[in-house]
Amino acid sequence: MTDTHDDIIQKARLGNEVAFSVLVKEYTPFVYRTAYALLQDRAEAEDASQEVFFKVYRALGQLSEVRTFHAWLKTITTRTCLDRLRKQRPQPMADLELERLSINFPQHFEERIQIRDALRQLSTEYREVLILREWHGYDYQEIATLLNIPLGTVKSRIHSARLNLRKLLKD
Amino acid sequence: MDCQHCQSQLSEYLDDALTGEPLQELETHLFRCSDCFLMFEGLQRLQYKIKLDFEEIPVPEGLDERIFMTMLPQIHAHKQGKQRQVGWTSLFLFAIGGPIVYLLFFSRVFSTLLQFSYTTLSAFARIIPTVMNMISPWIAVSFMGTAFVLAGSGIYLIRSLLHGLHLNEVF
Repeated sequence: MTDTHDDIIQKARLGNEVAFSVLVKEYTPFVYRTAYALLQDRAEAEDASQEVFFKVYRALGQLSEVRTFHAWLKTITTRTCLDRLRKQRPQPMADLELERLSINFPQHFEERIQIRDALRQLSTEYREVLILREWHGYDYQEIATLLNIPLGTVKSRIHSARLNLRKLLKD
Repeated sequence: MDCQHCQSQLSEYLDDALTGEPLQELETHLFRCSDCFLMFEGLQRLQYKIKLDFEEIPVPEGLDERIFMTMLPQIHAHKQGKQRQVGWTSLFLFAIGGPIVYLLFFSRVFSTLLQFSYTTLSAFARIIPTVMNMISPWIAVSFMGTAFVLAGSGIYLIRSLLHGLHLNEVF
């Protein structure tokens, strides 16, 4: 009989390496995409993904409810990437990354590059609130807690980020 | 509501963060004002594009395997550390528990305690029927009910306190 998702998490909690490797395989795209969206650097995003999974491995035993695993992982990923973002300096997009984009999404290549470029031009404060809201689906209060800023600041930052992004895409 | 006020609240509307009267006022304005409605549609399209962009971030091939392989030595080191911790904790418990067991079962302290408990319990056994005959049955039942509730709360409290301790790692 095949293991359910909860069974795999439960086995990984008890130190089963195979079960943990299954979790790594399943959640790597989510973790890496979050890291890349926030950090905008491939090598940095890979390092952040590695760090996230090691944190998950160490803390998995403390997870009280298996069903909350996804939300728990999302929080660890976000916090790890935000910590790295604070220490990071802005870097230009590598040629290799542009090449990979053109291979994977030739039909939307121009549009993707425009959006990605516009996102890169946004300030860190604007980019992080947009990613937490649009991709992770956190509500305003959750974003305020994660970033340790007032609720009103979250609202105004999201609004300004959208207006700025819209302006950048029009230019 | 004027256009400036409406446009400043469009982000919150887009994120379902508006309720009550402000929501009604904004929807009424959007229905009447084509400029604001166009801006709302633009923000909605932008939101969709950002979501799509994140979902299409290419994940490096074999990243999950690389992450897991890099983690393996750390996982093994972590496991060994945990085993050592369990060993030391067991040794510590044995060192502490040994003298306690000796004091309890092989010294005069234990027999004195046993004697004291027997004397106290037998005194209670003699007093309780006398007290029960003196007071009304309703008061007696209330006392017993309170005693049960207190005992239950005590057990629950002890369980809650012990819940945070990972005793299964030692035993």
